[in-house]
Amino acid sequence: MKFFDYVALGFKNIWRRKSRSFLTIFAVVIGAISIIIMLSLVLGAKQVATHQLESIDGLTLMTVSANPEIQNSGNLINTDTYGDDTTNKLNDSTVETIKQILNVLDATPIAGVWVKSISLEGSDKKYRANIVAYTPGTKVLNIPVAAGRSLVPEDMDKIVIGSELLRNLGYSNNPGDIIGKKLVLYTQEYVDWGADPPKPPEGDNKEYFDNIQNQPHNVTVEIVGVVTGGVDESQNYITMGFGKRIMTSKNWKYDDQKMKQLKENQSQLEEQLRREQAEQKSVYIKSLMTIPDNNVRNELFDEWNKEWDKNISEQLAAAGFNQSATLILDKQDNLARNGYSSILLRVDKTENIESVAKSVKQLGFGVQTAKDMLDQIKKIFNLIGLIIGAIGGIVLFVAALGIINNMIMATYERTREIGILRACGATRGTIRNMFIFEAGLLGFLGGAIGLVISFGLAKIMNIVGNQIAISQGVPIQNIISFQPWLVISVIALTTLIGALAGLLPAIRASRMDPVEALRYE
Amino acid sequence: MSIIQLKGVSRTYVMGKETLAALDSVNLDIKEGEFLAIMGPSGSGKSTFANIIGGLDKPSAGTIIVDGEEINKLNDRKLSKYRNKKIGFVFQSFNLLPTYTALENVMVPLILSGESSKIRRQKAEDCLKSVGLDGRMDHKPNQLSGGERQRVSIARALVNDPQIIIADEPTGNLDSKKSEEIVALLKNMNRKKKITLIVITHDPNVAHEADRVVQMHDGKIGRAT
Repeated sequence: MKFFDYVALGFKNIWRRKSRSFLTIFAVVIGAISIIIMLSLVLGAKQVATHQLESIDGLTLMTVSANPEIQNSGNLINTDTYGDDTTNKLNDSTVETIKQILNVLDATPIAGVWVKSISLEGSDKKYRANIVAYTPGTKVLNIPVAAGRSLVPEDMDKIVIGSELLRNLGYSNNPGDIIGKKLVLYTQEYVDWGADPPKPPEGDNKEYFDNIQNQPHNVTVEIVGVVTGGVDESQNYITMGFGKRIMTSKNWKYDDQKMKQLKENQSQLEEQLRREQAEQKSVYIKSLMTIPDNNVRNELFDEWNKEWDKNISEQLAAAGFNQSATLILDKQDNLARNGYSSILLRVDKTENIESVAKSVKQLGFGVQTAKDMLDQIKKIFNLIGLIIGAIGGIVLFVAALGIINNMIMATYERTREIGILRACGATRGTIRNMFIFEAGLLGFLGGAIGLVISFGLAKIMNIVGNQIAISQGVPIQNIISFQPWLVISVIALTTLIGALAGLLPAIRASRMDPVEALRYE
Repeated sequence: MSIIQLKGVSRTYVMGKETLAALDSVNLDIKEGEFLAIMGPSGSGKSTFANIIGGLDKPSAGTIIVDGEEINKLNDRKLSKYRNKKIGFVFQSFNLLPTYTALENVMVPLILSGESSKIRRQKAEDCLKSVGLDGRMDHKPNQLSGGERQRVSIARALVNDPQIIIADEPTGNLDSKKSEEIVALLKNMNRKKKITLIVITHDPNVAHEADRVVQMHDGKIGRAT
């Protein structure tokens, strides 16, 4: 019997038992839809992750951290890790060393800059913000902007903001309007930018030092750019030059050295004066000998001493010992103290990623490549996909049971028919193939209908998803992607499952004795 | 010329401890183009005889040579082909596929042999015309009378140009007038196309039309003694 005849016969027989066929096919449809939609979601999410990395040309990027133990933090622009006392810190010389490694195109230090909160100039609303300092203008990182411009190395009080802050400030729909506006960064202490803190008063200055914590400290910056997607949307960027300044705290301090020095000078001066006094004393006493009256002599001596003491005090006072003289403006470079958070480097070619990573590790640092991150993400998505596939597989298995049941019933109902066909010259193989085709067709139809419905569902989900993404300021388009291979595989799978489900009933039917089959009522 | 030769053909069934011989060492020669009637009481093995010659059943012992071929030695594929091409069955209860039209029913043997759709349509139409069912081709069996249904059966049996037609009680479910028509039709085919016709029947009127009548009893050829 010809192939086409098998198919036509299959359709005819499925149509004969519309309700039963419909239910059986429906089960397959559900299984097919679940597999298709969920796997497409996983594929789409994978694509989004890859795309985000690719938009900053991220594949040749590598993050160096001070702690070799830290492998994966999920973000290439890593502001978390600081060296602890046991590991080597990342500083400018480290950056130079890294740049010297063979096949490294360029490197930039990355530092997380801490501020208490941030607000738009003129507004009271304060937000948390994640500020990252880096060196622009290297070949490493080119942060793409949706509005305004990127940073240049000379920029000082300028900032490029991410989409999370943009959304919080309410400019998601009109990022261009926020360019040029000022942001106020609230810092914990006075920093090496802007006004100096006021000098503490003389005398009792306990109140000053208690209150200095409560005095407002802030730095004003200008927004020059807004970031598009591709990087962590919570990050906002400033130059490393500016970052160093605002990571350097400024405080008035009483300098102990100076104080000691001054005190020494004082005592030296006093010593000198007292010596002078002593020298003068003997001369004076001699001159007093000419006065006969003892009482008058003592009075004069006392007065002379008092005069000298007063003289010495005045001279000491004039020498200017006061606390203020010991005040110095102390600057604490916190960035130098802690070291950079990480160093971001770019490798010249993807082939060299392995060897550069090895070199960095040999220097005793931790390394995370973009490839590692991507592999991790892919692993996670693959796992999710596997689980989902398994669930879909279970659903299809149950649907297959339905097909088996359907076919068993069919072979019983059509016993007479089988006998007639055999009498007309059908081989066992023909009978068997007939039922296998029918079962496979049930699977095929389930897969095909499931596919059509999935297309529709996917379109709806993409439209809804895109709306959500836009309102959140997230630049993701069309999370669901339909790969041709997925489509073909699913239909092939459902057809195969159907055919397999029909196998045993078909074989059973083919083995029926024709004579008995013809007698069957 | 003997087109069919049976030599020592037996067909036994084992039911538990008992063995039942439906056919018991049958020897028979059937000439080409002969119209043979087979008569006998119920359980005499007439149907088994017909099934075995038609290749629907296999003998437990003995040889059957049809047109030079030993059909008892054929495998399922070859036997099915034999049934498809050389044999045409006509049954008492018509045995038409209920959800197919008359035309489609007649096309079944051609579909099974892989004939192209144009040719099989043509052949089926011709056969239906030859049995006088011109205007009834698109009717389903439940829209046809008993006589018409049997004609469709005959058309189906003829569609692949068989050498032998085996009719098992073809008039059993028909009234006397229709029976006459059917027998006349069969005899016509036998005479015109030289198709060997083997008819199993209770009806002496039918047997009367045959060239030769063979009696069977208890699985053996011949009258009961």
